[in-house]
Amino acid sequence: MMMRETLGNYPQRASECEYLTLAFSPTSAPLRSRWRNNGLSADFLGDYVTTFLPTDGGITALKNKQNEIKHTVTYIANELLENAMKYHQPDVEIPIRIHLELASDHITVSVSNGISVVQAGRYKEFVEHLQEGDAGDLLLRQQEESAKSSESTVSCLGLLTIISDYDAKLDWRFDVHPTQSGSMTVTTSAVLPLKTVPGASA
Amino acid sequence: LKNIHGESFEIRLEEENSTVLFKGALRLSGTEDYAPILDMLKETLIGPPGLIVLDLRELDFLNSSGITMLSLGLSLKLVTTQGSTFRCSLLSRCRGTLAR
Repeated sequence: MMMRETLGNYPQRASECEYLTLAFSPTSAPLRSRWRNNGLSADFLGDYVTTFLPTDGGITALKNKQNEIKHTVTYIANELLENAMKYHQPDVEIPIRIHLELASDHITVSVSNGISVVQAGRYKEFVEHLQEGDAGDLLLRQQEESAKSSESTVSCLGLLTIISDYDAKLDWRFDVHPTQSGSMTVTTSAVLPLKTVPGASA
Repeated sequence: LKNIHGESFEIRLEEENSTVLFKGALRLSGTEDYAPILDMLKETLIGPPGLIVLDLRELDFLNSSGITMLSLGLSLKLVTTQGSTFRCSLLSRCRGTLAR
């Protein structure tokens, strides 16, 4: 088995950029009591990026753009963290990590968590299905079916909204655990282009 | 039920049950946690015919599970009146608006 597999164009870390990583060891408290940390962390990341998006003395268009990007980063971080918290394999020593990177023309939000090889296989199938189809169409179809859905279907909806509603590009990386062959670390990475932001720089 | 609230959100029935007011950030963990809110929406929407307002102006954040809950609540009314094609277009528009 390959030690690392990527789906999509998994982004390389920019050589010089601002970045921030938060890590959680999710075995220490039950999911329900940790759930609020998703929102707190996502809000923090959304606020954090605003420092690097100048508003040039309060020009309304720039202020609106800053708010839009803040909301987008918050939404993406929250969805990716929710998925990681829900599907993390609790019995391996793999932390859940969220990583934010700011480059001059894009923002990357990546979240990693531990999963079993079986779960990884199912996730890869979903990703391949997603890469073949249109995210907007898949989203509508899944919403139509969501009345009878399982949690896993609902979770995929989060990824579809990230692509369809926020124009972010998703890529995936699967790493085999160095000592536990039944476990993997999956990293889902969302890249948000900043081309349309006048005056934005990291 | 006239009021559902959590640490970061509040949902209230107002104006003699014709307005559902959403406030704050809705980030509940899934279908089960959203069930009481969906039930409140269903009860309101299957009531006597008339204008029902979902006031989302003070809703700051809605996660994808919440989008699903809201679209299920809305589709309930539309399926009985307009059919599924209209339902699709409304869901799409609803999502686009909430995303901003």
